[in-house]
Amino acid sequence: MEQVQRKYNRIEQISFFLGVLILVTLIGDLTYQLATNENAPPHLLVISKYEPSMPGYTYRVEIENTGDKTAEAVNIQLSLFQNGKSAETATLELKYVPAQSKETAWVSFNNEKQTSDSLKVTSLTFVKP
Amino acid sequence: MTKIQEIKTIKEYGRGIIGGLLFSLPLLYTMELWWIGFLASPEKLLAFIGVTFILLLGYNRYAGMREDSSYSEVFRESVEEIGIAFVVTFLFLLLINKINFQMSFDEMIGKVIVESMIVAIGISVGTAQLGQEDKGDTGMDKEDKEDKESDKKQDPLQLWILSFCGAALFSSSVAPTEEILQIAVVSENIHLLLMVLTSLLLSFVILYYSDFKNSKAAKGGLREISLHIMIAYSAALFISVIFLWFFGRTGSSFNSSFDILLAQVIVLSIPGLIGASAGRLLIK
Repeated sequence: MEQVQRKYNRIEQISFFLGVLILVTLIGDLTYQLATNENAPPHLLVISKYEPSMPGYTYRVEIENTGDKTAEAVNIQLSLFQNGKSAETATLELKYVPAQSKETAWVSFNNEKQTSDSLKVTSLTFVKP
Repeated sequence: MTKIQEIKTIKEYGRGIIGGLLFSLPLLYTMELWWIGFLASPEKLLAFIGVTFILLLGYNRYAGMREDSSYSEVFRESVEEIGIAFVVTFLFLLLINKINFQMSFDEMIGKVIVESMIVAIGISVGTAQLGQEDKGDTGMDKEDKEDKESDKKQDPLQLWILSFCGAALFSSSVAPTEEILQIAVVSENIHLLLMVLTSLLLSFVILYYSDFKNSKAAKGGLREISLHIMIAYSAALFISVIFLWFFGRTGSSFNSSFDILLAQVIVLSIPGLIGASAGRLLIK
C-alpha cells in the first residue's frame, strides 16, 4: 500500500526550519570550539576599582578567566595597603569562574579611605575541575 | 481547514511544552546542571545532542503521536522537538536569571544544551501522551483496540528504546547531584547487593505483579518476564553510565576507582530501573 505524504501547515514548517537552524548552529559552534580550543588552563585576571557610589569604603572587583577551562574553588586574598603597609585584608571565594567569563564581586573595608591607598592580590588559588 | 490544522498544531506544541516542563523542572532548578553547562567539553555536548536525538527518533518511531509515521516524518518531528526544547529552555533559564547576556556565548549555549535535551524528550512524551483520547474511540472500541494491541508481539527494539527513554527521563533529575557520589561512597557491599535486588524486585512488581497500566509481560511466561526485566535493567545501567560520564563522575578529578564508579552506577540505576519499567509503560 502506498503511503500518503503528510502535508505540513505553516506553523509546522516554521518550527521545523527553526529546529534545523538551531541544530546546525549548535553543532557548528561546538565543532568550531573543538577545532579552535587550545585547552589552555584557567588564567585569572583580577581588576579592582574604587566605588565611590557604594556605601562605606568599597571596591568593585572583576575576576576574568581568559583560559579555555573553568576555574573551580577560586580563593582570592586581597590586601589594602595604606602608607606602604598592609592595613586590612579581605577574602573572596567563588565556586566557579567559567572559561572566557567574568565574575563581579564587591569588597568593603572598615578603614577610612586615604589618597595613597592601593589594593593588591596577595594570593590566588583555584583548582581545575 | 488550514486554520483548524494550525490550531491543532499549536495545541500539540502546548501539550509538548507542558510535558517538557513536567519532566524537566527539577533539572531546571538544579545548580549542578547549570555548572555542567560550562564544565562539559564540546565533545561531550555534541555526544549528548547525538544520544538525545537518537532517543527522540526511537521514541517518535515507536510511541509518537502517529503510529503510521514514515521515517522522514519521525525525523521532522524530532528536529521540531529539539528546536522547541531549546527555545523553551532558553526562555526559562532567562526567566530564572540563570543565563544572561553578560555571560560568554559558550557558557550560555552550554547551559541551554544540557537542560534542553531532557526537555526535548519530555516534549516528545507530552505531545504523544498528554492529549485527550479521540472522541470516537470510547467504550468497547477502545477495549478491543487495547486487546488487539496487547496480542501483538512487541518489537524488542521498541522495548529497548522505551526503556532508555524511561530511564533517562526518570533518573535525570538525580543523576547530576552530588548525593549519588555521597551514597556510593558510604555504601557497603551488602547495601549495593540489596539495592540491586530491590531494583529488580520493584521492576518485577511493576511489570508482572501489580497490573500496571500497559503492562503486557504478565501475559507471557517466566521467560518473557525475565526478558523484560533484563532489558529494563540493562537500559537503566547503560543510561546511568552515560549520565555519570556526562556529569564528570567517571573522570580522574573524582579519583574514581572502578569500585566507586560501579557503586554510583548501582545507586543511580534504582531510579533508572523504575523509569525503565514503570516510566516506560506510562510514556508509551
